[in-house]
Amino acid sequence: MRRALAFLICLLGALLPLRLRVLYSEALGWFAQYYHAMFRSLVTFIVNEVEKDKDKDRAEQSEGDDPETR
Amino acid sequence: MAAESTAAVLFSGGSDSTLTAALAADEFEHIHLLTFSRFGIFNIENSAINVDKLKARYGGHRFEHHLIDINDLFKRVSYDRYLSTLRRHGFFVLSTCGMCKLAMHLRALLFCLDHGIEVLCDGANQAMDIYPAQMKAVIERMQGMYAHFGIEYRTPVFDYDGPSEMSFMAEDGDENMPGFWNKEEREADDKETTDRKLYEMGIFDSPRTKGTQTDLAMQPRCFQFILFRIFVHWYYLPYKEYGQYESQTVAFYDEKIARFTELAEQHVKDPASSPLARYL
Repeated sequence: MRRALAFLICLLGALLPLRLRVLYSEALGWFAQYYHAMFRSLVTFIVNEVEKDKDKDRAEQSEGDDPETR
Repeated sequence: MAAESTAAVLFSGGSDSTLTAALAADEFEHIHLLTFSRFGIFNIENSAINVDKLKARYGGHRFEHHLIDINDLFKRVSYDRYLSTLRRHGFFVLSTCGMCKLAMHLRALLFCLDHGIEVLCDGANQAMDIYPAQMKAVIERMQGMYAHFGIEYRTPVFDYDGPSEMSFMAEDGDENMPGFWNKEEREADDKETTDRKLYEMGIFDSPRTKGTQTDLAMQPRCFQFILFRIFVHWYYLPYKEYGQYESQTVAFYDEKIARFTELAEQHVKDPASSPLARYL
């Protein structure tokens, strides 16, 4: 499947004149960058939320262990 | 150092070509830094950032930065005898990066001949051997092309290590990214990379710049490698060995280099009416 997709992408690229090929590659590049950025921001968000949650749990636990607040 | 000696460096402004220029400055008195532009290469002015660093380190009078347009020449290299090349080599005609580099070398060769320069260096590095111009066998053929005109083509940073595989997380140089990557781990990496060497020489502020935003900001941007990488990584390499890829790449560039050596020779003999004249 991936090879067939690659074949189509490359075939179109090979048939284009230079300026259009450059613009076509740019478009593919921006498309890849967009997915990369989306994935990165999504993972960053999830990891940050997990860390925040962990910190909150730790704080609650240490409050519970503190004899003065018991 | 030979007094008044001169060399040229293919200079993108990235760490490989900056180190190449720095090493050339240890050996040559005067360095021409050649940066090439064409349609599809953006932010060409970024290359000036490391020119300033080199000038600050070695003296401003020793470096001369040239921006040279290769748009027409690149078009000629890419589409020369196109249909027969496409029939014989298939999607290797999409190796834009290699042909762009060949156009740069061709223009640099003519620049060297015009200025009486006998040594040309570039920042080709073994870590990126998927790209034709960084492939040892293709480099040897390029060296043959230069030698044909009495010029020595050197690749002084070829054996330096490539950077460690960076996670996509590290690309912003983001030390705030929790858990995945941290600054200490990155700096503990003791690979002998070109950016580490530049850091040790006092030219760069960090031993690890490749792939970071700093790296992107100091060299021109070009996305055309994407199409070539789709061909290599999705279409070709999953079904064939690297050795086959290398030999087909070398066959493709053998032909291109032989063809353009011939055209360059005609140009040297008769610059006004050579077939290359209108592409320069």
